[in-house]
Amino acid sequence: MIFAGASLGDGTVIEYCIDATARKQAEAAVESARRYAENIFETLHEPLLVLTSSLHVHAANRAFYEQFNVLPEESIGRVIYDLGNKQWEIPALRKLFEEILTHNSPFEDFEVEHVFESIGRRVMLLNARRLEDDGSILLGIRDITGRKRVEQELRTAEQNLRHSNDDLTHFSYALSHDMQEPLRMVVSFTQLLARDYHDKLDAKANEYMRQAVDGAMRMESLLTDLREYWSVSEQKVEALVPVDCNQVLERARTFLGSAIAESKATITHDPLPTVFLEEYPLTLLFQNLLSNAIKYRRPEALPRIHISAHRNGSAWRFSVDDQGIGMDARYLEQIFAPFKRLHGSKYAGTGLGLAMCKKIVERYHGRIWAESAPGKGTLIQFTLPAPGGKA
Amino acid sequence: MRVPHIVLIEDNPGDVMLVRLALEENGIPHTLTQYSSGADAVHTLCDAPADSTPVPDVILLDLNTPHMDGFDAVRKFNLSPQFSQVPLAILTSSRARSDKHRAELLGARFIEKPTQLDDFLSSVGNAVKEMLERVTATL
Repeated sequence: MIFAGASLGDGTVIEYCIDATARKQAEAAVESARRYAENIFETLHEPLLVLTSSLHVHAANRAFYEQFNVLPEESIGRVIYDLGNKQWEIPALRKLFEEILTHNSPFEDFEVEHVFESIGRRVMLLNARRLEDDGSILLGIRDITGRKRVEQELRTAEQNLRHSNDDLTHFSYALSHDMQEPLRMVVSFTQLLARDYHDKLDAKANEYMRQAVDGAMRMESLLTDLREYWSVSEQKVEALVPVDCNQVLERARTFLGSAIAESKATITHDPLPTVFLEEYPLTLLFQNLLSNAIKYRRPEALPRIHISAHRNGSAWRFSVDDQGIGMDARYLEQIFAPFKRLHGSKYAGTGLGLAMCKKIVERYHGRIWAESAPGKGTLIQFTLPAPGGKA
Repeated sequence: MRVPHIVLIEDNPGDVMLVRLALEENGIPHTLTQYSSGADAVHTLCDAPADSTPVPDVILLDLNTPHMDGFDAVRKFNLSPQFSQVPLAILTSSRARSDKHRAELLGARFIEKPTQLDDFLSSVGNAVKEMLERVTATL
């Protein structure tokens, strides 16, 4: 309370009081708000400037002085365009400031790359908005030089990686192709030798030749699988066409004719859907799954394989159930990796069959997984996109 | 009956031997002229004056011979008035569907060279037999 008195000259004195509490409180609130804002202003690591409506620097925070390596007397009171070596004297930036002043429209992430007077070449991002009706502007400046450099390095590294990966793929493809010819010569002429000179050679020599051909043939399957693996993982998806999975399965059975006949395998299937994909990779997929199911059959029983498909929302889920030897659940993750073979040389194979299946399914953004237990057979399931959906 | 004349364009001596064997073992009587490159064959056959070289009954050519891609050689033969009617087969160890497709577009037969000896002999032998039968049928 403020008390005051006044004498009117005729002996009367008026005493009055004014309640100043409200004003005091208002002043304290303003001061508190100012300190609050100032604390934020000074604490931020991002350089900040407050500009007047005539674009003179009204205030700058500590981060500004530190990052630009300048003193307050070089900055305060000067027009923004005159700072340093006129780094902000950019026509596009001028236009943005005018927009703020006339339309109160803030701008964000205006990128400036410049050789600054005391700190050299930097890339900065500018953000600005109007603070008050008097037209003062808050300008935030972020140094993204480091980020830009890392991004560039990352891009270069990625590009290099892609190039060397491309080289490697082409190299392995060319290799698998070019090795085919000499290998064919080895097989053909060893077989010719065995055929025409069979009588002139003893049992041992014939066995040697059989081993040579056997080795060469294994190498040929490996080269063929490598090329197929390459084509399903590296070649772009061609035009998608309607593919009747019943027919694809038939074709896979035809390819595996002798293996099916030798093993006396029974292959049954539910009606299978038509999908919109590519025919050849799908044939390979079924061929590899059937071939595996036949290969890992139980010695005491004839192989029985059943294929089914269920619509699951936007995808078809296929199942291949083999009732074969099965495997320990801990190997289930490994079996889809290239060259992972659980049974060594006991079962012939290149170690690429299931890896190829995974590549084919993933080619159409599907998923493949297995469930198994020793002696209980293996159930391989995979998804393919249903027409109009994603796998 | 005239003995069929077969032109073989193949640079690998092993394959030349195997093709000869395929013809012999399939009982196909023949005279065989071999060129080691498509460019050589095209030069000798197509660029020579007409009637100076006998027109073969069948041309077999490997896809990868030096100096000229097999497909280019097929195109040259197709353009030659003398040779455009001669049945042509591309022999290759390529299993690429795209190669097969290109061969068919050019009107050439596509014969994959199988790795197994027996398969090679029968596949080359049967293909040549069929081609020769078609030639005789149209005469």
